[in-house]
Amino acid sequence: MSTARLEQVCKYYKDTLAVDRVDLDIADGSFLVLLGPSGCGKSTTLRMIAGLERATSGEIWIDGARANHVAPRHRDIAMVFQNYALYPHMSVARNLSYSLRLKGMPRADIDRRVREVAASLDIASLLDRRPSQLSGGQRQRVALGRAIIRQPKLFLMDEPLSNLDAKLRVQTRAEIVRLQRSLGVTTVYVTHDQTEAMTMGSTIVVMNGGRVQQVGTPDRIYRHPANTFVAQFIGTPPMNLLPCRIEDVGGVAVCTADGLHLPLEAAAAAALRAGGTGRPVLLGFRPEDLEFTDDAAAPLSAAVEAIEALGHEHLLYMNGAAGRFVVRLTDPALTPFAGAVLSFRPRPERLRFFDGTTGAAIPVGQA
Amino acid sequence: MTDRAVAAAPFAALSWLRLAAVALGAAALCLFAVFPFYWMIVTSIRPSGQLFSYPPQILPSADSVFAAYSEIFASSELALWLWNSVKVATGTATIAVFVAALTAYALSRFDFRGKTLTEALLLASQMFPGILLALPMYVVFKALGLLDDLAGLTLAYLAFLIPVATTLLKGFFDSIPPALEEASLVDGASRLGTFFRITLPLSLPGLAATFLFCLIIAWDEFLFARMFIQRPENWTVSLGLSSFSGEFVTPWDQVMAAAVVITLPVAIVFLFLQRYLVRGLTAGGVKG
Repeated sequence: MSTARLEQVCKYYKDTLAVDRVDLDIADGSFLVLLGPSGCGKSTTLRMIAGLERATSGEIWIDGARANHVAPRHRDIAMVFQNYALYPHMSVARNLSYSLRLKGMPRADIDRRVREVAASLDIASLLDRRPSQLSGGQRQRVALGRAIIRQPKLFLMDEPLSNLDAKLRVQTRAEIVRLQRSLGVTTVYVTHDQTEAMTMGSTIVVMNGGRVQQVGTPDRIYRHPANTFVAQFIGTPPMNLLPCRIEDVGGVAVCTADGLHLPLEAAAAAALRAGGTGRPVLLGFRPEDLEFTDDAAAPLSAAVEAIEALGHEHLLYMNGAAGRFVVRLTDPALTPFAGAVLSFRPRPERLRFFDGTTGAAIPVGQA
Repeated sequence: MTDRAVAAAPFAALSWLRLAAVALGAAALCLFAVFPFYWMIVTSIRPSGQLFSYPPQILPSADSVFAAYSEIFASSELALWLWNSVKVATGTATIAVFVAALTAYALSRFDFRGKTLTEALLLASQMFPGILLALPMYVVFKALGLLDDLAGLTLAYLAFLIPVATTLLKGFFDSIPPALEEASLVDGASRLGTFFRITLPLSLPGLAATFLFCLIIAWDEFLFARMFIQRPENWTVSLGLSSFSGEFVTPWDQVMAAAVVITLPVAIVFLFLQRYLVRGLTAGGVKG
């Protein structure tokens, strides 16, 4: 039963601000993913929770106790490192038992725990080997085993899958989730891979430039990005953003730009009018949130520039007067050709609006 | 591609002609390195009468004897000088490695005030030629009553070798991934515990190399030994060896025999430690 909390945590390296006023509430048993591009401060945040870096300011709480000055070894945490960090001069068994030996656990208990963990990770046959004799996937399992053998308060994982090949990564992803569920240990997981974040996390924290951009469930972050950074960082391809203005045309609020004329529904209209008409906004929609239409007065039309056929779906790269955007086509019967001009109608409940200058999402009420 | 295949690839690319050239070059270099030792040993077991015969005999003649060996142990204090050198060299190497390991670790892993200055001073101290410092050190050692004392000589060697050993070891510590130590810290070890359980075992090759380096320097050193040590019972092997060269006659067979006896201990230590020198202990711990 463990929680962790970060309050206004900052980290400076010399004069460079790496982590900027981060607040986090890590609930008991949750799987929290810190997601962001490289250099966004996610690893530094994790290392401050581990005690490997000291926070320049702010407070770190583990299980309700202030942990800022607690040494890593007294925090009762286990960490899986990106490069595994197995002790090269020790056998797999001794790697696994290292923390237990330090605790002074009786030998018989240690042997039993090592066998249990090795069996659960399918590495029982490797116990006498050295790390250098293991494959990447096996090393990864030993690193996981070294973490779970502890039964710690917190699991911290720093991009543990980034050194595995694509197939192994998908397997291990599922395995880590299974382990975490069965052990129920609160986990903080760092990754730059949004697929990992979306598939593994119960909560995702998107970071950029040392700041938390958004905290939410994977679905929430995908559907309701807090700003244009999150909108474009999450999703492959990312959310389409088209610059436009809100105009009042005969009492109806219309989202308009060259090649774009989109009358708004009442809720959106009210929210956008409140900010004043005529100001620049960004219209956001996911590639799968457009419908084809034959209507000559369609809100949006553009020419197909390129097509990516991925088997289960086609991605159409569109170029029109309103700008460039991507459309996801899941119906294989429809295969347009490059150069064709297509008309679309966005699904109104899926439209998102962002402030044209700050990039912050404009709440529309259906949230 | 496996690691083995990667390692083999450059050799496969070589034609047999280039291989032969490389082998020949290696053989020539080996000969160049080994011949002085060969000549030293052969001379030591050859009667002095044959030393200056022409043409020189590459192989010792059948009537060779180990007379020179029994002679040097009987007529000189060689055994005592060996013992003195063992004390000075092992003492120097052990203390130098211990102090340097702690210093180098701090320099490699921690940020602290004066770190850059310390590193600069370590480097600067290696730029002074020994002869430049010998005289001032003599004056200081005389005032401290450390002259003609093996402990004093050890101290003098340490003054030179600790900076060198620190620089060497810092390089080795720098090559150990910090993640290994961080893993140990998180796993429940203290800084010091991590140093002894993780860092030191992984830097055995570096420690062995540094220990050997200090040992050989302290074993061979002549200048400071000559200046700081007077009484023959405090001589080290290098002073002892020089004493064989007489004003009128130099018994080369005895000089060479003594040289063999002096070289052997270092060679034995080297053979014992070389497995640590070549073994890549950090292989496989972290993804490279």
